[in-house]
Amino acid sequence: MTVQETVDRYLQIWNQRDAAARRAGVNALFTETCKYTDPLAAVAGRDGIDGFIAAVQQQFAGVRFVLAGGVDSHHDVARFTWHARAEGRDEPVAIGFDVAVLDGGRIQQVVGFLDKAPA
Amino acid sequence: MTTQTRSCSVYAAAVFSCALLAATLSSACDAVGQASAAPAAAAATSARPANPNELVLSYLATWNERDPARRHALVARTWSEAGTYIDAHRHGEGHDAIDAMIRTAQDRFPGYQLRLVSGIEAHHGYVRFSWAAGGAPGAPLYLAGTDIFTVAADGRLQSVIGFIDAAPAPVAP
Repeated sequence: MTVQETVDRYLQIWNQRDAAARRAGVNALFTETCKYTDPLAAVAGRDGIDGFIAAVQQQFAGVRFVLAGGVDSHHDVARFTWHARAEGRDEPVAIGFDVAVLDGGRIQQVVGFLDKAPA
Repeated sequence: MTTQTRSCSVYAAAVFSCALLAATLSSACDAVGQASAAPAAAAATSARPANPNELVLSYLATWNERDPARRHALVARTWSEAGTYIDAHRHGEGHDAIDAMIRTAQDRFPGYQLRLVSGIEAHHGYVRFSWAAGGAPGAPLYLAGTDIFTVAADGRLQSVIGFIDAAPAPVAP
């Protein structure tokens, strides 16, 4: 799996609103000891990440996360920018910058920053 | 980056610019009076960074310090003993390796000074900021990057991940 494919699958999980499918995606993509940290949340483990994504999906119904620009990677790290898009809105409702640390093709850690915080 | 988050950082960036200016002035005074340089350097490099903003300033000062003894002291002030740095072109682990890595970069880019070009954002022990260098007479190439810190428990750097935002185009053979 290329780094680009890993990031694509990561964003697909954020857009997967079927709970079982989302959890299967988390299990396949993240290591068991994975961590996710952004300005609003710090969670660990597959349970923690799946629960956090579910909570965000519930809070932002109808929002889709899309890759904005390229994936820049070296060694086992990658950075990318994402946009959160809502139906009928031209501007993204949120913009984020994530750094992913990979381990054997899986995501070990995500550190996120918000360039545009959701209102 | 025209965002609320970035806007909130503007005030902070202004405060840090003042600190940068003070650091620059301090260096200039040291250069003028060699006799007082050693004590001043000791004072400037002894206290550990108290917060993410001081850590970023200490980090940039380390890349800009050409005096070997002072640079090594700044590395030790800025990174924990097992601290790491990695970007697309270079990496180092531990004070001696990081110091040697920075020296090699300085030798390749004489006259270049890194400057802060963004706000400093910090949460949960992580820090993000952007820097630039060059684009000036004597240092014509424009270089820029975005760095991510993981801060160790003692306030120094556990790890730095660097990404390149701007680099010179490859020269055709």
